[in-house]
Amino acid sequence: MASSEGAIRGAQEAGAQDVPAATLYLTLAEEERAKALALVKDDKNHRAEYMLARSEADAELAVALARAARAQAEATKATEQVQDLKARGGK
Amino acid sequence: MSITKLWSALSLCALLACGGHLAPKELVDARAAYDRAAASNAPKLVPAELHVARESLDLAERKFADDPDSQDAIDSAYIAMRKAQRAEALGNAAAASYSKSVAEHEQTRTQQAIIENQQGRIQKTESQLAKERDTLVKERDSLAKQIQMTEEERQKRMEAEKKAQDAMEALSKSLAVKAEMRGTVITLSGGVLFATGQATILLGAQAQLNQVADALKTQAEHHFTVEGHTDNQGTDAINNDLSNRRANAVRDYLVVRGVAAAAITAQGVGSTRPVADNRTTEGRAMNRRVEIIVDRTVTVAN
Repeated sequence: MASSEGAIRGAQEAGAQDVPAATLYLTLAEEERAKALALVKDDKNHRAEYMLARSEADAELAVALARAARAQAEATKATEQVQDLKARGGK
Repeated sequence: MSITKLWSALSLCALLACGGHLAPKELVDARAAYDRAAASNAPKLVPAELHVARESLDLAERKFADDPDSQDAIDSAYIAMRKAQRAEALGNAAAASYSKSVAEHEQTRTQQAIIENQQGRIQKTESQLAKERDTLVKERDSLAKQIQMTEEERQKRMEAEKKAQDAMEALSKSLAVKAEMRGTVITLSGGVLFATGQATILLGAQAQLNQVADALKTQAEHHFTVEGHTDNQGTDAINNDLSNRRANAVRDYLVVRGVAAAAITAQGVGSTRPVADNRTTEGRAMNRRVEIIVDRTVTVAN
């Protein structure tokens, strides 16, 4: 249960809620965690365990997508800066 | 054998092993997700993450083989799909990071090239400026020298003019000196310079001519003309010849006394230009004369 919670926190800290591609998976992770908690209350621990594993997998995907989006944005920015620099340097 | 073919074979085996059960949508999606991840940057850049996805998919396959209808099999397939997607995303992130570092390296190299280019331009400009500065300094020094020389020449000219003026003023005390259109005219009486009918300078006239020579030497930048004049007694031929010889005699004497030969010419004009009445004795005496004309224009460089 703790690993699911940690993964969700990690996704939030990675800014997944600000990356459209990652937002869906962060939401799914939160929903699945809530479902897992409900299952625990109903004493369906085996099902809760799988639900938490799904939550953790979704949260980790959200982190990866947020990281990829940020890396891509930084790469694009760096490439544009080089092109701009070359254009200005040639004048 | 390609990955797709391998999976088709495995799926067929799984289908047979599962007693003809069709794989759930989650497992089909997980296999496809793994295929995409395996074809992406993941094997090269994040092989460990792809390996985790592989193990997760294998687990899902086993769960499906053990119990095709179980929720555990569906959840395992779901988790395997996410692991594969995650491996692909992390591969893309790593590729983007690599692109970023390449771009940053390129940026550094470009900046260095720009700086070197600008330094080259600056050095070239500085070199040109140094040359121009040297040229200007030389021109300034040359100009200063010219100004100094001009000033020295002006001073010398002023001193020479003063000396010449003083000499002419001193001369005017003992001789007739007149300013005319043709220049300053110094008139010497023929009776003082020569015996009647002769062109040899008398000893008694030499002091006067020496004074004239000294005055002329102070005006070296001028040209001088010595003119011989007679009265109207006798023939023109005789008078012309006599006036010419007398003019030359005076010229030669002045040259001997230091007046530049190139600056002085002589000519006789006979009785053609009298200054007084030839009918009287005094008039004829005044007409018998030698004139030395200091030309108004400056013709000889000092």
